[in-house]
Order: sequence, then structure tokens, then C-alpha cells
Amino acid sequence: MNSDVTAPLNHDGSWSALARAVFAALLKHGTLTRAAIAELTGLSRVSASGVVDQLIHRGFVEHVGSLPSSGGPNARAYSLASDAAYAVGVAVDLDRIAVMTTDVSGAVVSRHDEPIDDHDAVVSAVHRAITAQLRRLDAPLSKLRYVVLGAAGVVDPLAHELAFATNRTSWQPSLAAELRARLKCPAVFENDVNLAALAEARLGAGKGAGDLVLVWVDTGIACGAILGGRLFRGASGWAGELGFVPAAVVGAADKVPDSPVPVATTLQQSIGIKGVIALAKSKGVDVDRLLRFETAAPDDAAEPVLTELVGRIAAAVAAPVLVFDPGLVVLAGCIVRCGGDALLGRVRAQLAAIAPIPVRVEMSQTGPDAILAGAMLLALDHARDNLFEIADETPTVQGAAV
Amino acid sequence: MGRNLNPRAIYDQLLAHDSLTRGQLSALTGLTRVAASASVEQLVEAGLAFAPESRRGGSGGPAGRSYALTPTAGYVVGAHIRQGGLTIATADLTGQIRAQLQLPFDEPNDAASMLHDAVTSCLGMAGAGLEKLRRVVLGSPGVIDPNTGEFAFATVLPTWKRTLTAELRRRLDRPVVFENDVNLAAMAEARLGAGRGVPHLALAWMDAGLGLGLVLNGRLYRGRSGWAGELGYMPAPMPPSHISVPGLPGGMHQLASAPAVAALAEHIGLGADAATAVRLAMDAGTAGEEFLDDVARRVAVVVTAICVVADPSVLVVDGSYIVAGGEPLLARVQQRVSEMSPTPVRLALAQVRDNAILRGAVQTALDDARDGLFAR
Repeated sequence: MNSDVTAPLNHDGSWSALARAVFAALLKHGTLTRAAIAELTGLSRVSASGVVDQLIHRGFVEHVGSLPSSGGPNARAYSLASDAAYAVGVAVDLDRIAVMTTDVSGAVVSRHDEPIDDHDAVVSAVHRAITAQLRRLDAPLSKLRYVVLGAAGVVDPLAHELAFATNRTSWQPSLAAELRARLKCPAVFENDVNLAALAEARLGAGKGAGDLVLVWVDTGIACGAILGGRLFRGASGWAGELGFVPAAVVGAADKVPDSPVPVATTLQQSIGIKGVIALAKSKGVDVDRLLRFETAAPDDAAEPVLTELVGRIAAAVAAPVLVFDPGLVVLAGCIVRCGGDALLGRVRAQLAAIAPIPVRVEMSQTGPDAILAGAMLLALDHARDNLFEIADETPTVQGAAV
Repeated sequence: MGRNLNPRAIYDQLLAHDSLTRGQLSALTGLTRVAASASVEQLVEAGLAFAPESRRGGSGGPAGRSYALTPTAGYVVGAHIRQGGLTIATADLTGQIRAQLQLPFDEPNDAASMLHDAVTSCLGMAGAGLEKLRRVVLGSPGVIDPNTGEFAFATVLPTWKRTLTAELRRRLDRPVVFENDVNLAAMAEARLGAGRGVPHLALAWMDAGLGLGLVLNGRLYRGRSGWAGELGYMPAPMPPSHISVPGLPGGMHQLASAPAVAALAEHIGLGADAATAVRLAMDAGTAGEEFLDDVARRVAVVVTAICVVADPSVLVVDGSYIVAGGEPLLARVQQRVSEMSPTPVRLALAQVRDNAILRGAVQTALDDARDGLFAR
């Protein structure tokens, strides 16, 4: 059978499939003539022109001037109307929210931070921030196409709500639904570390590398995995909750008496910030100094504590590496940021001692806004996917492609 | 056949339903009637599908005509290679097993020609020619580089050359890969056993070594370099009853591999190997409780770690001493897991009892062969 190489587009001939193809061509190439659009999409000149006209009519495409055309007068040129639609990413923290808005071309058009205090405040604060941003942009609410909220906790992958909120147990698993009702726009929760992993894969250390696992070592410990080019959430949203991995911890105080396995001992207790403080205190070492991973003389009291801490972090990294073999692990979060390159080098060596597995270990390159950026990128993906669907249809959420 | 996904959608529906009309194909794929008809005709032209004669003598015209996949369009071969023996099977592209045979296999010097002969004999038994062989998947323990299909690290057959796959490919002139045996057992469970109908299946193999097979989103997950699921190295908390087993790397190997369980059994006078010890303890009633509980806690640590990292829809636990313990041991493990894991875990014993690795090899070969039909 001949392969139809002139048709890069796989479609069923429906309007939304054709529109998506033209949109994708303009997104990739910027400004195009009708002839170029036809060529790039594999559509006939007539069909391509028809779709362009409809997209102009609906406000997604605009005439932007003219381009030289072979063998004739200059041809009219078109590009996306970047203000045709917007997507919003939100980072919901314990005591504040950050909101970032992008237009459909992917350009960040506004950003806003504000403190919050309780459950009711989350929904109204996010609602208020989004509507204020849209008003400033002079955009009606109907142009808002997707909202992704990043928060610490376990997100039910079907309901897209926080099934288990790490920061505030008072947060109900209905926040996204409340926001959806108020904004009349799809709004979903996503785990914060998953979003950081997505941002890392697109903008950071994973750019061009394919799959990765991002291990977050902070007040808690968790990982996000990009596998086969997509965010992997697991069956119930618990994938990557490394804090619950049973851990070996040196020190009798951590063991549960009369238990063959120290069941109460987990990675969360051993390398969460509290675990680190407890470890430092138990050995009489200054926590700040410990977290800076200052290289100490071998006889320094801090040295064995550092070794222990590195061992715990390496154990946390080893778990997802041995399960997923991602090829690349990125370290992020306040504890590893404090430790810097000194920590990175020691974790690499310790990981190699645990298993002879080929894996690259790198520091995060995305900075403090990783979760917010990841939320915005995911919202933009969904907004673009849903751009030409019927407006009131509830979109389903699939993994985010990288 | 082009990168167009429409024929693939039609193909998958015919695979699931045996025989369908154009109208049914359109309804099931969501393609327009025109697009569905064009795609099914593409499959017919390529020899992958045909229109069986209507029982009503061709009435109803093209719209009422039924289509089915052509079983003889292609074949795959799957095999399970163990120390001493080889089981090999040929299946047609619809998944029907056409021939199966068992051969002795004592790590011959010329493994490539031995495997070549096994493949051609098994194909011959199925009445299929080499030109219709689409894929060969050979299952064996070890780490296999997914990029080359060669062993990076062979545990049972350590003398195998790293060029075995390449040699076999050259002789057969067909696509050949090795796959890790635990991955294939996971594929068998995902398609034919405990994982039917769920998106993510994990299979934890606890025996001489510890391994984890993952089928994520319905497809075998291999990882970047074939190391996915090498659980034995994972750091783990050791119980006070722990007895170090020489020759095994640290971590979960030392906690829950069959040799680790056997060492524990020997220490308390329960016998020589893990499976026997579990059986004896179960027969011993209350006297065996402590040992079984210790084993269950060890397994539970492995299970909990898998579940909070990979969160599978179903986790199958398998291996000689797990099978010996059966449902009663599984219930103990479930109890211990519920104390450790924050997430409800669906545990199951393996359901594919007969030639699981061979079946998994055939399923994997079928996936790869069908992908190959539609790849550019």
C-alpha cells in the first residue's frame, strides 16, 4: 500500500480536524500565505482557503500583510490571532496563590500573586485574580479556555480534584468544580511535582532529552515522571509519592520496637525537612551549615551526618530510577538547592554505588516558578486541544505530551 | 502503510470484533462512512483484511458487506528460553497460536543457529513461510538494551554474546529481539490474566532475583536502557531477622528474594528452599505463623514501594514461594500493606499459569508486528 506522504494530517474530514491542522501550521511557522497553508497541511487550495476564511470569521486567524509569492503578485499573509483564546496556570500554596496567563500563541501575558487564608478564599481568590487579568487584557470570559491548578497532594486522575491535600486538610475535593462553575471553563487540579516535571522536560534540564523523573526534596519528598513523552500519574494519582517508600534509617530511635520491619519509617520521615532537622540535632550539627553541604574535614562532626543525608537522598532517587529507568533524573526542591553542586556530586556517587544503572543526574534548571510554569503549559496544551470543540462539551484530560 | 491512523483504528476494531460491516466500522471508530470505507479498502488492498462471502449471498451491496482480518497475512514467533529448555510458538496476526514446541537447550556454543532452526521449525509446523514472519520475541532473564535488543547483562546464560540478536537477525533476515522474562510475564498477565481491562499493570517477580514488569497504558514499558524494574537493588529497611545472603547485591534482594527467605527459613530450621519452607509453615499451623508473618512483611515492603512509585491499577505478585503461599500468604501481605501504604492496593496472584512467559512473548511480538504494519 502506498503511504500517503503528502498528508501529514490524520483527520476524518471534520471541521475541527481541518481547523486544528491549519492552526498547527500557523503556530509552527508564524505567518503564511494560503498557498503555503495548503502545502503544509496537505489540503487542497480550495479546502485550505475555506478553513482559513472560517478561522478568520471566528477570530482565530488574522490577515497581517503580504508575502512575496512565486510567479505572481504578493500574496496575502495570515497568522494566528494570539488574543483569540487564553489559558491560565495557578500555583496554590499553603498561604498564597500565583496566577499566570498565556495567550494561545504561548506568550505569557500576565502574572499575579496574592496571599490566601482558607478554603473559600482559594476559589474566590483564584476567580478574582483570573477575571481581573482578563479584564486588563480586555478579553471576555469566553476567551478563557482552560485552567490548571497545581497543588501539593494527590490528585484523583478521573475527577481532577485534590483527593488528599498535603498542605490543608480542610480543602475539599470540590475546589476545581466550584471554579469551573464560576468561570464556565474547564478547571482541573494537577499535582505540583508533576507540573514541575513537565516544566523541567519542556524548559529545563530535560529539554530535548525525552523522558525524565524529577525528584523533589523539600518539606516533603515526591517525584514526577515523564514517560514515553507523557506525564505519568498512575491509576489513582499516587504515582511518585516517594514519601511513603519504606526506608532504612540508621539510628535505633527510628525503629518501631517489636516490629520485624520498621513500618513507621518512610522516606518522608528521613529526608523531609523535619527529618533533616532531627538528624542534625541528634548529632549536634548546625542545620544551616549541614544544608549548605559545606565540605568538611573527614574528622568533622558534620561529615557522617552529611554522608547519612546523601545516602537518604540517593535512596529516594534510586526508587523511581529502578522502577522506571528514565535515563535522566532531575533534582529539585529547597534541600537540594541548598546543597548545590556539592550535594549533586555526592548523590551521583552514592546512586552509582546502589545500582550499576545508566542514568544522568542533574540539577533542576527551571527556577522557583516551575510549578506555575508547568500549570500554564498544561493549561495551554488543553486549551489548544479544545479550541475547535463545541464550547460546552466537558473536555477529557489526557496526559500532557512533552 | 502510511502514517495515517485511520486504517489502524479500523484494524484494531476488526481485531476486537472478528467481523464488521462498513456501517459498524464507522460507528465504532467515529470516522465518517466515507473515511471508514476508504480505510477498510486500504486494508483489503494491503492483504490485511478481506470480505468473507455473505451468508445471504451477497445481498445488501457494499454497505452491508462484512470485513474480517486475514489470519494468514503474517505470523509472529515467541519463545521462552530457560536453562536447559526452550518453548517456542507461532501465532498468526489475529493472535491464534498455530504451532508450539519444546526443545532441549543446553547453552549451545552456537546459540544463533540453534535458535534459527527452532524458529524455522516452528514456523514450518504452522505452515507459514519465513517471508510472512513479522517479528520474533525471545524471552530470557537479564537486562536487555531496548535500543539494540541485545543483552546488556545476561543472568542465566552469561556466556551469550552481545551480538546474538544481530546474528539471528542476519540469518533470519527478520526483526528479532530479546525481552526480559519478567516483562513478558507482565505482558501475559496484562492481556490474558489479572490485568485485563485495566490501564496499568505491574508484576513483581520474587524468586532467585527480584524483578518488576510494567505494562503502562496497555503497552510494555521497557525504560531507557532496559533497567526498568530492577527492584533488587532498591534500598530497603532490613528486619531484625535479616540474615545477609552472600553473592546478592544489597537492597530488596536481601529482603525478599527466594534466597533471602530461604536463609531465614534455614535459620529457624524450616528447610532448604523458600517455597518448601512456606509450604511447611502453612502446614504447621500456629507454629508457622511467625515465619509467614515475617515473609509477608518483607513482601509488603516491596509491594508498598512499587505502589507509591508506580501506582499500578493491579499489582501481580509472583515467584516460587509466592505461588507456594497462595491466597493465604497474599491475604497476610495485603494486611501488612494496608498498614504501610496510604493508597488502596489491588494485589493479585498470577492467573496465567501455563507458559506465561511464552504467551507474553507472543503478545509482545503481536504488538510490535501490528505497529510495524502501520509504521512508515
